[in-house]
Amino acid sequence: MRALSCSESPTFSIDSLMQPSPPHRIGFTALGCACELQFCTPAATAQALAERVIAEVARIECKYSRYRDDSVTSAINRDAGLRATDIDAETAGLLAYGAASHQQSGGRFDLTSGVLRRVWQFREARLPQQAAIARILPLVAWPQVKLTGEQIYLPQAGMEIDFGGIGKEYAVDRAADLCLAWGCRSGMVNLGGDIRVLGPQADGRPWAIGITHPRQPGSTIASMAVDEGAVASSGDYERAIIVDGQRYCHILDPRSGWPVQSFQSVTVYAPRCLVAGSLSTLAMLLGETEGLGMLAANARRWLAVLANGEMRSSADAQ
Amino acid sequence: MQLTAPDAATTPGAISCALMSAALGLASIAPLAATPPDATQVSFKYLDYLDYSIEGRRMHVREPLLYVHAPLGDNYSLEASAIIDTMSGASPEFHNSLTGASGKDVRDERHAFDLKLHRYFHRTAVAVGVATSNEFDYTSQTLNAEVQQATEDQNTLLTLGWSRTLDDIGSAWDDYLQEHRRSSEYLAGVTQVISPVAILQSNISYKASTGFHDDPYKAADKRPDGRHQFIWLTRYNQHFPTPDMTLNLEYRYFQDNWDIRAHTLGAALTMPITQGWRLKPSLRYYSQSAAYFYSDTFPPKRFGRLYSADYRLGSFGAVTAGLKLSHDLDRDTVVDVALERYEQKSAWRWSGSGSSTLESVYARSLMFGITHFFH
Amino acid sequence: MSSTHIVLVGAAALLLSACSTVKPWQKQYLSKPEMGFSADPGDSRITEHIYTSREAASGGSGVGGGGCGCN
Repeated sequence: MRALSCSESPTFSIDSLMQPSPPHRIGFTALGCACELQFCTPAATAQALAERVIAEVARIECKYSRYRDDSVTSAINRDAGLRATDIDAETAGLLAYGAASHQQSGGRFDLTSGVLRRVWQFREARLPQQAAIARILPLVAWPQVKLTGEQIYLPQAGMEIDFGGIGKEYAVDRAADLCLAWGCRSGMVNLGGDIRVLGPQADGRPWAIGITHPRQPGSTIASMAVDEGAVASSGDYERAIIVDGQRYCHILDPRSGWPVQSFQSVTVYAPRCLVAGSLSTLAMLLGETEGLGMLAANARRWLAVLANGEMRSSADAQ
Repeated sequence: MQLTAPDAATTPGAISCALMSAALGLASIAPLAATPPDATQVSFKYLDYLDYSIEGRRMHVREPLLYVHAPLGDNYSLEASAIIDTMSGASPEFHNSLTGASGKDVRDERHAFDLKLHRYFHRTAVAVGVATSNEFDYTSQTLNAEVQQATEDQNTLLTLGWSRTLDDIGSAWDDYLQEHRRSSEYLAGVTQVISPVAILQSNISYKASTGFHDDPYKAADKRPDGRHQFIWLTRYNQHFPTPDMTLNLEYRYFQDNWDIRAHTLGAALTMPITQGWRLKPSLRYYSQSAAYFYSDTFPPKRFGRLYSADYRLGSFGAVTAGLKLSHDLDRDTVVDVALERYEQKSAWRWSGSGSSTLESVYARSLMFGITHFFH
Repeated sequence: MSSTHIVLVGAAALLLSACSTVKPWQKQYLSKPEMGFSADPGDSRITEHIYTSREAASGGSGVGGGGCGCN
């Protein structure tokens, strides 16, 4: 578009009228990671939406962060072994999601597995003692949790609920639902790599979501064209230690207390971020053989990088 | 490497379905909440109604309607509608009630508007509204108010409503006719979520009206000055996820102090035909018993000074069969077309003595509609 | 009150007592438009008018629409 000056009458080239303006990008930090919102709306709308999204994500972070004493998570964990805690509908819903994923994963998803971070800190390249794991493992016991629609009771002192595995994906869904409810049908919410696309870009094209190379941060191995829906990834590279040439990643199997060793990364597309995130993490937890089968049966679009670097995807199956 | 969507949609496996269901549950869905709409709804409807009796008298009504419901900020919304009703053909009269005056061909036009302002609080909503309806020989103005309160778990909604109506009645046959009628209506209702797929609503209404109730176009018509009506309406909706169908059931009991008792029974089933297309067959049965001063003999039998030969106060049954086809043009737009056939017969009444001289009435309605949600 | 009415009230009471508390995350079907009671306000305004002009009984679902001269 030609720049306007006072002496010229405003003229616009046909091209500039045909090309919609690029999306407004708003970046912020939340949930311990870099977040970005993109909206194909007028600037004022984008700003207003961003304010609402940031407020909602902050609300979820304050409510469920285990680092805050006044959070719901801390309140539940303080009552462990003592008494039941009253919970509201949102918390009950998250815990119900935890129950569903525990059941669907054959016990591999466990909202009480957060206690394992006491032995797996991923700071020094040193493995914990098996005895230390064995001491903590009895506290990883979702089947023992007493959950109703109004209350939760952790029967053993020291048990903890940790929403870390689903909190970010839940926040993405809440943020996206908020934007959709406010009428924004063209944009994208990205909280630390967990993404939900609201609708195609202003010119109707889908958004190109790049999938990070698990061994070369900063480069992508593939891209997914997404019109609408969520993309989430799980990988062994986010927080890992390498001991004696073996990689130990932050995805721990709650049944053994040890990290899984399977894919380098799994990326899944699903209509909602919670589901995309759960399916990608479940694939990691199931290991290569079972994981590939599970992805083929449950995810419409997915990409997995095997331990040896080979790629498999939903496109292969056709 | 580009990952494109597969051509054939794969059926998601059990794990994905179960997780999706749990995830959807976390999305805040509260159908009973007294919350404002999140989009502006604009609907345009067009009704083409034709009724005909055996004698060949026809009444043709054309009725376009415009309806809007728009949110105003976070806490208010405004609902408005406008109807222009054009009627041609004879007014509904039956020759057994006439003493010579033949059916008057009236080109009748009616304009009706209503406006309602809603205010939403945490689990409460209040609304005030006005409505007006004008024809050359009849004017009606209504003021109404409503309060709705949802319980903490959002499974129960209580409704209280009130309205006051003023009617001014004239006559094309009598320039000096200037009568009035006033009514008050009270409603109390409860809407209850029964299960994740079923919801029930039950409302009790009481309406008291005083003033002129006669039909100015009936030669043989003198009705009481007062009328008290009691209505109990119960509606039940259930969804069947497996065939993806929804059933609507309704029963209404009506009783007034003119001795009229009426039952209405309705059922409709919404079923998807293919992606974005729905079919909704419906059936309605109606039965009423006659007003105590109704008479279909000629000359009409009097009850004190009261008498009426208006078949609408007589005893009969009626059946409506309808079919509606809807199509989703896109995520925010629906178009629909519906056809209904209505037939009234004295022999179809549930109980009570039927008006044996009543002729059958048939009517057919054709309705087009388009609704769009603006964001 | 006739025996029909008693049966109806009894059925309603039974149905209400069978209600379990439905959680917000279970309500996705209830928010479908065909599951609501005011799904198509345009339609109901039109059809109400047709029946009011043919039948003695009217109303029950809400208060205060404009009347009409059809009695």
